[in-house]
Amino acid sequence: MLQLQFLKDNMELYKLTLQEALDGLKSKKFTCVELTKSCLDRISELEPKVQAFVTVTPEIALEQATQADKLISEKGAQAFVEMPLLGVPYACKDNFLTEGIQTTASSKVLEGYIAQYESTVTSRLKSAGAVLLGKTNMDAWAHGSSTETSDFHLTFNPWDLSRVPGGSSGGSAAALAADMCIFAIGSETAGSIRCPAAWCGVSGFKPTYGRVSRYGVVAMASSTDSPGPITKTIADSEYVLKIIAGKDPHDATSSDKPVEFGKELQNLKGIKIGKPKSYFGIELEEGTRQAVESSIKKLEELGAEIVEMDLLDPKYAIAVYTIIQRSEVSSNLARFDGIRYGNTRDNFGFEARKRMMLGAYTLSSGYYDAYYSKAQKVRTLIIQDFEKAFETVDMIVAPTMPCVALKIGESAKSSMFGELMDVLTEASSVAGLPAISMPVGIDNGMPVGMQLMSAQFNEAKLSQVGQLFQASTDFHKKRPTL
Amino acid sequence: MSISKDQVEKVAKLVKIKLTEEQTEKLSAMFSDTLDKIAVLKELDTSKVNETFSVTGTQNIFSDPVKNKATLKKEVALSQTKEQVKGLFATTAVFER
Repeated sequence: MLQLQFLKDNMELYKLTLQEALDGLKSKKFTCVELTKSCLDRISELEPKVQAFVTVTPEIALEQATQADKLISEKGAQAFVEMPLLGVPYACKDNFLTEGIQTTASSKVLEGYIAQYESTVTSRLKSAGAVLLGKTNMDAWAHGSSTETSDFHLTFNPWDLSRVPGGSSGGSAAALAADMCIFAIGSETAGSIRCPAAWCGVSGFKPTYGRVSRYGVVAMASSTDSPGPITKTIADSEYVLKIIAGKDPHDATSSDKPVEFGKELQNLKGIKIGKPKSYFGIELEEGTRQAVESSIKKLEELGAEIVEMDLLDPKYAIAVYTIIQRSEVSSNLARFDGIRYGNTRDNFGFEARKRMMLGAYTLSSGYYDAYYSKAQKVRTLIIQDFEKAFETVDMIVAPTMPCVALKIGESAKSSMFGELMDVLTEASSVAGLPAISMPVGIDNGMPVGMQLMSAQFNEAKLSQVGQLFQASTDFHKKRPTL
Repeated sequence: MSISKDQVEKVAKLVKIKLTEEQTEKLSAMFSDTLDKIAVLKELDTSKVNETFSVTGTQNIFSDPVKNKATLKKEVALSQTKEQVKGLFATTAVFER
């Protein structure tokens, strides 16, 4: 509580985690308006440097915060029972439709488009009382791993402004790392939550495919898109997931499996964590390798059994993902004709053109069997490979990314930068698995992320392990100096 | 595997995108490079497996007429179009008059 008073007195409420913010609001240490203003002031101060947002919504945020304070004064503690995120400010990736607010997917094709309905995720957050600070920058159409393909502007990594924040949820991760918001929402097709979380030194939770509704999310690859939270702690991610996850009748692929999480663990005895040779056998930056190996030892100290294992070489997942994703992209982006909404197709950026065209090629007559059909069959092999692995281990550990955040501009020359960078996350994505990324160290001033992947719908165990890891370490508490 | 500029132009037509000469050349080289990288799939024997159609095994999910009530009012649906005629979206002509 002393800590909360200190932060309030120093106008640094933006530093709070989601849990701390809720504790402070419930115990009336500060108001929702004070908390939101703290984040908005932080955004005003740092946006010129970081450029995490496409659209900041200060009037909406203050209106929502004022309404939240009113509800708290009327209902007291009961208000938080009915609305478990009441008054907590968040930033949302700009591929989630937010009714009445510009939604662009960082593309000129949707520049000026005012969303005509609300996505299920933001609707659930609204009903839970969360306060929307704004829509964050991303790779246009989520096509990338650096946020450099945004049609509007770059986003800069708060740890080193000459570096990328990762992508495609780079704006959300950067905003969170810079403490511009208390939590953020991103989405992952392959790596787009985990990569920016790792490169910005925050926690990311990619749920099982179908756990969180895709309704109202601008589609990238419909068979892998997974909306999810980017947060300061795994405990915060779990809290957000409890609110946004769950069956949605508007999303035919959403799962009706109940959203359940477990109790806090005291140790990891009985938990087997697989360490795949093929994931550690690729070229990894030395600092990344060391930080991850050191954290694996920590997991062992906590009681986990680390099991050396084999998994299919991730190079196959790169190919599977490239073909399936670009094929689905070519189909999904065909609807943007500028007739019912949006601007014409000549507004598509180079990366979108590249991906749509390669995707159309791999789907076209004469090539479908060799590419798309083959990729979907190898996808089956990847799924079976993981199923076999999870017969002997509870989860799999690996670095999230092969290196720390790259310098701005390094990605431009590659024919498939995004897909190559996401080498360690693509297999689990095409298999629809849940995964978390957590900060595990700093290498030459840049954060390193470690991921844990598990069987479909096993978010509960991932969250338990992640939370115990974070209770025993303090990597996740480090923030950049801006 | 190389992709000719002709093939690039053909695919550009399929996705309804106009390319500059420079973009056509650049993409031709990039696609050739990408196709070389994804050729690695040939190394795996897939004769005994089927394609994945649903990663979580869902089948035959039908819209629930009671729960699925999402609909747009006409004025909302028309609110973002650049051109409307008599309360309808105006599209490019299909037939010549």
